[in-house]
Amino acid sequence: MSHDDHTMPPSTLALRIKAIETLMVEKGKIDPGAVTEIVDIFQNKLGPRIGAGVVARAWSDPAFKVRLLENGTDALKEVGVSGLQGEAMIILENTPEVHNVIVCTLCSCYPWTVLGLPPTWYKSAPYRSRIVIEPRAVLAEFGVNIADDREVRVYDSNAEIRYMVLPERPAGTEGWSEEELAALVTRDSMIGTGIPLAASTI
Amino acid sequence: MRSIADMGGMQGFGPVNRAHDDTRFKAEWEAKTFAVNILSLAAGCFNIDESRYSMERMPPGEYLNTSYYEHWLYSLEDLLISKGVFSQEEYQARIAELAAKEDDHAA
Repeated sequence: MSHDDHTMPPSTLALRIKAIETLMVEKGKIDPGAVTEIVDIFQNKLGPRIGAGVVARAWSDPAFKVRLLENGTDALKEVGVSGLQGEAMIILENTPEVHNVIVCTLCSCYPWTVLGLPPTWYKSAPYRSRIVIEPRAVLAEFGVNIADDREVRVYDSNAEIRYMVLPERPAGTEGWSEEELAALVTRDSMIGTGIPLAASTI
Repeated sequence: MRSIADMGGMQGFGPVNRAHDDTRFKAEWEAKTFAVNILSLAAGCFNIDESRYSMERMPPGEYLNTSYYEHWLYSLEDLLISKGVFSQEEYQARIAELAAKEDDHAA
């Protein structure tokens, strides 16, 4: 299956959504201009740098980390992160014993407020079907090799709950500022299909 | 019955294509479909469970042969029409009207 396969030409798809949009505006369900605003927020304002800041904060501030793990939604509000698909956030801490990874097997639920929109592979049939049955093999394809004695936990989102992974702080970063730490936090390390960059990379 | 959307544990879809790493909309219709969905949810035209359930009821062949945002477009049409926000006739008429305008521009 390819995401580029279409049963109809793109022009037909464009007509269908334009028809819906104009009808919704006429019926007063949607404000004119709101569509552009939403696209701008999701395409340009939200993104994994927000999540990276949260992770760096948790690495730097042990009390914040405790609050983040106890009640992700409330702790994120403290740092100004809330909104759609972030109403019930659970933060999963990676430890030497446990590696966490997130998926939405049914569709594509994703923690938009901290990571923005998901990459195409996250929404694809291969990732959604396989990560729950052979997570170690899928992670290895992403270059993440998990030792046999380390547990892998796969979290499947439901309609309300969104997960984000709190990766382990890289070695050799003692005394680093939050900004420096955030630069090591990759999007995939917060999905669980990656780990943060090594201290030596910056 | 198990929906085609319930993909966890299914076999045979092949490897994860990590090269497909883009998070951006590939076309304007995708961006609009996403935004109209969010705004329809916010306007209370339907809720997120109804949205998901609508996509889960897509015929399996169609689900597999259409792209991600086509699933969203399908559920928008399904829900807005079935809930009477606008009628099938209004919708088809609007599509025809917009298509005629485009032909005028092209001519």
